[in-house]
Amino acid sequence: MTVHLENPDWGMVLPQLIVLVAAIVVSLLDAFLPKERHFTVITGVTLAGFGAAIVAQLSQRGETGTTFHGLFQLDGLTVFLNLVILVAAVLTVLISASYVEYLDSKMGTGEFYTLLTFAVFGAMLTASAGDMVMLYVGIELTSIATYILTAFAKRRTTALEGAFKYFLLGLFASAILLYGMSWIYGSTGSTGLNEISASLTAALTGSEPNAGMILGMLLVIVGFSFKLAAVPFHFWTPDAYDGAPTPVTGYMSVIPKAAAAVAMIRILVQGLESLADDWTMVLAVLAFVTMLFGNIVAISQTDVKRMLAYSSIAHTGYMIAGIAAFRLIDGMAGERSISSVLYYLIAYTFMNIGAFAIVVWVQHRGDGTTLGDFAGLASRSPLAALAMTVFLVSLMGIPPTIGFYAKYYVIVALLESNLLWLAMTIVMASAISAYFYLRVVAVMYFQEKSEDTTGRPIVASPLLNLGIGVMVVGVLALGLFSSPIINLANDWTNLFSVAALAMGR
Amino acid sequence: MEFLGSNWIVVVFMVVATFIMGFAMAGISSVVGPSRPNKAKSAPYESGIPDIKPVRPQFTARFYVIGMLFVIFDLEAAFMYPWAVNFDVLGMGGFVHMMIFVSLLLLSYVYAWKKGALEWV
Repeated sequence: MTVHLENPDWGMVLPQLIVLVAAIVVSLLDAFLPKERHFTVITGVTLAGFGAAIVAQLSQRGETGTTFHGLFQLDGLTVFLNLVILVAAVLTVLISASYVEYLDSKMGTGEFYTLLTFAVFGAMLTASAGDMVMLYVGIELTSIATYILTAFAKRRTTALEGAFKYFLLGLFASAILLYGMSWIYGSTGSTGLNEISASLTAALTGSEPNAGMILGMLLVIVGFSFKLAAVPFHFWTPDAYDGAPTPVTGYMSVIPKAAAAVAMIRILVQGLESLADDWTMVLAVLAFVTMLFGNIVAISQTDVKRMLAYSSIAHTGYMIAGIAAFRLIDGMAGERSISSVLYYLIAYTFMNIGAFAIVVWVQHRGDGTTLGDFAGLASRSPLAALAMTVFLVSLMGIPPTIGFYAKYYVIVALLESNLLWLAMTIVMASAISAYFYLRVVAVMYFQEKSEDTTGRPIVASPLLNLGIGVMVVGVLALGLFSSPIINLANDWTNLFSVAALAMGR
Repeated sequence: MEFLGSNWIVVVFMVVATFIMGFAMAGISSVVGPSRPNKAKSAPYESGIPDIKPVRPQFTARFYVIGMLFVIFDLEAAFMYPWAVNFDVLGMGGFVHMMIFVSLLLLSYVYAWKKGALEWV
């Protein structure tokens, strides 16, 4: 007897392989390279790895298929999300390089980039998972690396507190998620998303869904809501975001969130599409609560970092609203809904990491992160204040920035599926958010700093300035020229043709 | 609540019954049971020896690194048994796959060694 070992299609997993190899190389460089060369060499290798992965991912555009016995799926969603994750990773490296080396967390550049690269690898696995097991492994790889990165400033107790809360609640969320997955497996007999979809469609023709399927669906939504920081599962967010080193906050507000969002889309849209009438309802309510809560609580924050944490909760709400628009009123699948979420993710990457980059920049000057530290920034450094204004205006959603277009596409998707009330909530929530975003702008331009508390300024590496520049250009240009991105995002629909092909064989 | 299906009535019943049972048991025992506290009974650890030193002493936590490494490498070695048993059947392809796996293990071993995780300071 001979067993035929199926040779996986390595070309399909090339971007992930590049990131994995980069992670291993960075960890070995950390162990073997003399300490004084860490900064240049390791930052360079990390950036080169991410850059090569972006090129490899771009070359996969339009390709589809599954490999590793369906564990791995390549489609439009994979390509887009991996690009978002890799771009966010490059931006994170740019803003964190000098921070990790000189400020706050003197633990070692090598370890920081090793963890970051493994987290990115996990997020990319999640984006390309065709199976619940793979999805879970990817999510966990990202989460565990993120817990450690949150505690990276290990001498500061706020960092430890935030990391510990994040760790405990994250474990709790993983357990709930696994429990939900086991219910779905129990009701459909498979962990493969395409098989689940086929089995559900067969089971649901002419009959109501049974309680097991609904329970699994609800538990999975709860698990991902924890990871996404949606209200009422957001309690870890402010402390973890506040405690983490600022570049890590920028990273963890984007990459794990993108991974959780894509995991949600994979399970709900690809696996449980037949239950869409049920889960769109749940997500709509979740989005409503999240948007209002995040924006209203952000009003009372006096710390810019904490304010941005609550604002990131609010932005989670906008993204979930986009997923909730999936089912149109006549039972058709809404193509625009998921495209709008994907576009929102890229917009959010640029404007949110941008805002945190300015906080990092201010910290390099020896200041803190409260509103008082931002007072008079416009007279001290006009360019930084201008960049911060651009990011905040974009987070608010004012044209011509990318944030406006992102909200516009979500609202269009919501109107198409007749969720007028949710679209109105987005507009109202944006109006509320104007208060606390513009307050920072007002403080920067119209207040003088009460006393000079500036500590010893630390020279930022040119990478930070480069990163801020790239993000300002991105926020202004990617909104005006959004059609190529939207076209790329629209490719996500070939997920269904991959599913049909995989089930046909 | 039609979208949740009527089977949920069972779950609701379970939850309500659990709450009633839990509160009833705790409540009845606090109402009916006699309560005569004294100093010895109210001590944190009743009927034990009194504390003679701080209850939260510091002890070396160094072993956890070794423990962690052992769990990782031991578990991963467990993957080799099925491969070794089926070596004839899996042939060259299986050998190559296993060598990739072992070399990854080797790299992580080198990393742990170089980082000083194996040294008992």
